[in-house]
Amino acid sequence: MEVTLYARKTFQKHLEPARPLRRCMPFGIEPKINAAAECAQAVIEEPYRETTIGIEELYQIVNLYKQTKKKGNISYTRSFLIGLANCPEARKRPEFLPDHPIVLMAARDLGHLHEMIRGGMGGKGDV
Amino acid sequence: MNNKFDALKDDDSGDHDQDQGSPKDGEKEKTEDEDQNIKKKSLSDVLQMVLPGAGEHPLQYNYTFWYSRRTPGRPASTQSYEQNIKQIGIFASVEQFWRFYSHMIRPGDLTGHSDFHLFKEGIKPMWEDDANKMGGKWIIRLRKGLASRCWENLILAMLGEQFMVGEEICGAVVSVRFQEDIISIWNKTAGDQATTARIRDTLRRVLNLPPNTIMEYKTHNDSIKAWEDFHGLVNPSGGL
Repeated sequence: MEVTLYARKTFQKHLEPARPLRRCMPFGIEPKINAAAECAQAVIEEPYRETTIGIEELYQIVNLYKQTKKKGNISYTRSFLIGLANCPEARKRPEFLPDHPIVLMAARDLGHLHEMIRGGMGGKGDV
Repeated sequence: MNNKFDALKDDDSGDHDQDQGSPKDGEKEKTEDEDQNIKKKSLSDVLQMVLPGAGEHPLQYNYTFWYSRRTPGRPASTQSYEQNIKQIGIFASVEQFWRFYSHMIRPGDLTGHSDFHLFKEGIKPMWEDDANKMGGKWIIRLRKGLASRCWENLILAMLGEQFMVGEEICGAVVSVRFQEDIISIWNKTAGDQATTARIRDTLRRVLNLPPNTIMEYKTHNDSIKAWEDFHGLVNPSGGL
């Protein structure tokens, strides 16, 4: 009883949005007697469905990302990684950094890394 | 043995395995409430995930930077490690790694009894963590002045997946001490000799170590036993 009352109320309130659903029905099919109630139910369910799909889609994207990482081994050489150290994206301050004595306000110079590439890894025999 | 890192575990906002409370009004309501909780948890998990930015170079795994420092003048104790280990941040791409790295001081510039830990996201730099409890670590002792360069070579090899041992690597640690510095790399399975040998060989190559360099492999079980035997005399953090 509660459901019927709610459906009728919503149907009256949202008559217009229900019409496209009726137009989607193939020709030659007799309209159902309770079609109006079904349309109303569809309208009621619509906002909930949209939210659910949104979360699920987000999850699918994340899972796809995870699967991509699992499929292949993402490897980088040392020189490639160092090559990215000075790109603008790598110099930005992270959005969340704790306030701590070892945390710097501005990015420090990483020029020594490029010198390490030019001069090889070095250090043989001095460990 | 008391779990000395319970407090740290409790701090982890990502661990929410416990059932959420649900109303007892009826089975249907209970189910719906549980559904909602699962959805909320899923959404929360997804929203908290660290992902590479558009156009960035993704890493095979997400990693977390940690920092710990033993309070001067205080003996090593369970509380000191719990209180002093601090999470700096999580990253998922090469660019994000450099963002954190360039905003932190180098290990060679650290003072006192300090450690940087770089571990895969979800693995705490503790012997007792599920991923670590059956594992161990390769240890290399360095004379002063070499820690920064060796640490950089070590973590770049780890992030770039140069060890080629599947999912075995857990993380790396650089420990700054009074007369020497120590770097170590932790893996999941101490009993897997093929894996530990491959890690050792890669370590020699990426750090360009001479053949006579002493490398020591220590299981975390041995570390725990040593800590229990010499409680108060050695560092309980797992950094050594």
